[in-house]
Amino acid sequence: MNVLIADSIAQALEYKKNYPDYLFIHGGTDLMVRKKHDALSCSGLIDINSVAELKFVVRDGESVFIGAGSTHSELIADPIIQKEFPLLIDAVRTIGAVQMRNMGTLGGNIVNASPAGDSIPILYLLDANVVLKSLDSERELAIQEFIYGPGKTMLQPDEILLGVKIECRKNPEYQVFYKIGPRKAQAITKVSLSMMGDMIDGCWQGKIALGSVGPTIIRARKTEAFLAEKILSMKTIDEAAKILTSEFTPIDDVRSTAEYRKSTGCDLLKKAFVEWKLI
Amino acid sequence: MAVGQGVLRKDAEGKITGDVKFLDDLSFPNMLYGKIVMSGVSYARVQHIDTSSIPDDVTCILGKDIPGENRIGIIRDDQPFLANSTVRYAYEPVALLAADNLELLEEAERQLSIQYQEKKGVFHYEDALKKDAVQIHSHGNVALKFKLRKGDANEALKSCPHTVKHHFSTHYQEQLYLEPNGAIAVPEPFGVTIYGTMQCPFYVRKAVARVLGYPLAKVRVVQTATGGAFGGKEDVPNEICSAAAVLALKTGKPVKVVYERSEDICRTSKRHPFHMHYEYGFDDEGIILAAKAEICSDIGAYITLSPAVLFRGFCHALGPYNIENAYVDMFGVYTNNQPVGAFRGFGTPQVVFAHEAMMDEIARVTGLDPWEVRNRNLLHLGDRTITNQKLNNSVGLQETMDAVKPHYDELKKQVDAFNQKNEYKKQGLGLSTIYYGNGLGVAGKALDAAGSMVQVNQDGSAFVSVGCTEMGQGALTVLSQIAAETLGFQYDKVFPNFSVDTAMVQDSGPTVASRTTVMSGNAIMDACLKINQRIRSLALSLLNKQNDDPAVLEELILKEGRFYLNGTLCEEVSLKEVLNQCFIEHVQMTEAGWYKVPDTEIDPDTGLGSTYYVFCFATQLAHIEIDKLTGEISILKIVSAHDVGKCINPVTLRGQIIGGVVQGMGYAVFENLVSKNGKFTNPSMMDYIIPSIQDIPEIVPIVIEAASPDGPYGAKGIGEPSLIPAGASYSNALAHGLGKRLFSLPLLPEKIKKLIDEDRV
Repeated sequence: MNVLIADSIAQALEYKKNYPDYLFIHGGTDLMVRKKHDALSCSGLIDINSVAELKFVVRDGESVFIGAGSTHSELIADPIIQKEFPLLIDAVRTIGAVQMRNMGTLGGNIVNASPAGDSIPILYLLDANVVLKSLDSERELAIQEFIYGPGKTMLQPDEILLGVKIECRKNPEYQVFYKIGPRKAQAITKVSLSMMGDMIDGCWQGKIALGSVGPTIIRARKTEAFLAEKILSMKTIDEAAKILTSEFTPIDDVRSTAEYRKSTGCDLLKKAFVEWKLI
Repeated sequence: MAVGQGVLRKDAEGKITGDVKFLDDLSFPNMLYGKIVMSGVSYARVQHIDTSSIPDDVTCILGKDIPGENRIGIIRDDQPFLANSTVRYAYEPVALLAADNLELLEEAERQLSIQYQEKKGVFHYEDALKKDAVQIHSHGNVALKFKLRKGDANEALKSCPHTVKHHFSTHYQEQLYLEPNGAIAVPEPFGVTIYGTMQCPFYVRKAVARVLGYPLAKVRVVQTATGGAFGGKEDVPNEICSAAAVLALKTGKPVKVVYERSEDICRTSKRHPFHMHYEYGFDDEGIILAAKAEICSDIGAYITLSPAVLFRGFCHALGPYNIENAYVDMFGVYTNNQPVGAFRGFGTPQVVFAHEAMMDEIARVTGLDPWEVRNRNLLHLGDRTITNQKLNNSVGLQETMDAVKPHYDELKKQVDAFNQKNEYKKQGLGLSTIYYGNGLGVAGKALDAAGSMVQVNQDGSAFVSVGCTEMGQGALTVLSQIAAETLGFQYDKVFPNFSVDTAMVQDSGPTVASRTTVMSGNAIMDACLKINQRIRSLALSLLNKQNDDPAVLEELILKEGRFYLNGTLCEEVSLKEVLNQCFIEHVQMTEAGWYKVPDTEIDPDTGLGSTYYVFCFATQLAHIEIDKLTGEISILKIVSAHDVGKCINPVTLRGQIIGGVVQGMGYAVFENLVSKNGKFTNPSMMDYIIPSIQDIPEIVPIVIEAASPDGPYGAKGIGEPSLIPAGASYSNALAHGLGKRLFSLPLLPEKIKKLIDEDRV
């Protein structure tokens, strides 16, 4: 297999223009597994490990830009992320093992667009925008518009993902990322629930996302709306869980069952409120 | 004293530095790569094999090209080496290929065209037992049947104050050793040398000689450093080594065959899945009056080691308890699934899962404590097992129960307090009490002997070879300690042969059944005692004492390289001096040692008689926490008490217990190899889930020493007993925490959540 080595974004895009069916490779934690199983549908790779422009986290006014080439380990150690988006760190910490977090990148996790990608639900909650660049243009897209199916994104053949842009807001008081995997480490998510919000006038106002229970990450907007207007109680949670049930349709696969994902996804909502001691 | 010390492992340095060479690290000039082509279909007639498109520089072997017998069966002869006209499972070998590079080999595999006429296979044991079922072999689908009748269980059950009945099932488990299976065959002037990662070099020698049509003497097998086995390298290497040997002889060049991980998971033996009906009758005091077990196992397409595995499960089916009326039926049934075979525990973890759940069921019905129910039914010295075998020595069972008791009592208080406080999290405690026959037992007694070769050199170093393998369990270390102790040398003067070589030691049977410490240990003692006696005798003559009187000889002992006369250090003569004189006087300083186990005998009609010459015992306590909202289990603590006879090395023993506990935890809680229509759906490290380091709890190993008169320094075994209790201790802890029981392993969150959700309104 042909591998081209790019040392700048401009060069990477130049290669991509000439070889539109090549794939960008950074950590390779997903691509190399696919290659081993002969499931890599490209005739070559463009190695962007040496592209320094992809590897930084920077605050720009009221928002933070995270370069697509930042590894999970770099994010965990980054003071800006630690302060502004602690839940992203909680989620990224659960990815693979140390070795994989040292290699794998946030950009890779996004472009891989797996419903089990653990950084993605947090980016949904944070209303992150992806920043895409081609030789001629640069554009921004909300992450939930960018990802439209398992492994499917709006990335064009001549584009590269530069990174994500996230607006800084006051950190909500209640934040949680629950990952249910087959074991405590080195695990692919069977179902995850992420929540962030605040108690305002007796109601929980916030956002909820579910992972690994549909073709993409699911934002539970109906449940969010219900909770925002109902005084929190055990009864409210039970009703909210019923609404949540209607917001996702998981499947059976090699890792778990639809039944388990459904039941546990809803019970994780209750778990959050129990552990926050709000009910 | 070498025995009883936590000395450094003999193989530590190479394994820590990475200097040790595993099979795939080895290479020979002009070596080719070989591959076993598998059927890919579960049940079919082979219509046509077309080799015409295979590149010229690739060697292809079909069943008809095998120079010797095209057979591979080990206990019974139902299996071809390469399929002839019928394939009976999806991973069945059909052809062999060899090429000088892996790319060409893959290309050749693609070009090999095999036409099959597929038939409707049988993939479940119940389907295989139906009257109109397809008969996979001409002798019918019931491959095996064992029965035990002690007293009259059926009659006794009618009059018991209480009876409980349950159905249990268990699943496949994959050994998942770090080093996959592999072999290299090298043509030699005398015949062939086989290098391979394996447990049983003497099995391999026999298998290779058979397919080559060679006398055994033309086949030399050298075991290479073996990175784990757990039963998965018992009979499996026969196939791989035979493939390499046939290709090497055909091409005249060395041939290496190594399995990829997914290939290794698919093509090698697994733990047998069991389906078990249990019925117990008992009184108000929790005393078992009658017990009945009807067990059926899907053995896959060929019988391989199933007769031995199922026999062991059969005679351990009801646990280490006094049971007057016992009834056990064990069936092995052919299907078109992967043939199953040896896995640490060998048919016992499955039945322990069932019989220990039944003990807790007795507790539930009578209102007695689970520990007390076990205590009241426990076997002691002089009691008889379900096969009516009287336990004449080395019964440390009660001691294992008593050792666990303080932990049990203390944790019980904690668990009760926790459960009162918490609604969504519950804790549970589970006990599991087991026994395990040491060695091959009555089913394998023809093989239950072992040899050694001990060479003492002029400089005081000793070279020790045995016929049982080091595969990570620490055998070389423990055996070197036994050699040092028996010779009277220091531990660091003993140099073990790191690999078993069939040219050096007599056929010592397989390295299985937790038998190595006892078998090779005794064989070493046999040789070392003779040499030690000659050394002492010569020392006496140097001291101008009479050396042909056994009583005088007893007065002089050699310990850690020093002589003691009547208990006091004797400085008039040194070991160096004595050994020097031994060589001047041409004293024989090399010995072949030998040991065979005491005989056992059963009546095949009733299943009654002696099954194993000695038993190991264990009691395990599991403390777990269940999240009722997710169905997940966290394992908090495991206490595992083992009667090992004698602890030769406390460090490696602890390692064996912890390793077994963790692998058992995998079996009970995580590992789930799924087969659909004869093919595994998750044969990868990504989808076959074993515990990670973060899942491993605090493990408290407890060692009990009820010395065995037949073991070296009293030792029995630990390899398998360390794993066996797990399925039951975790599932009993789950049942305790939830108040409801799961009757199948593994205890996956999916099943636990369903059990919890059943109670919801």
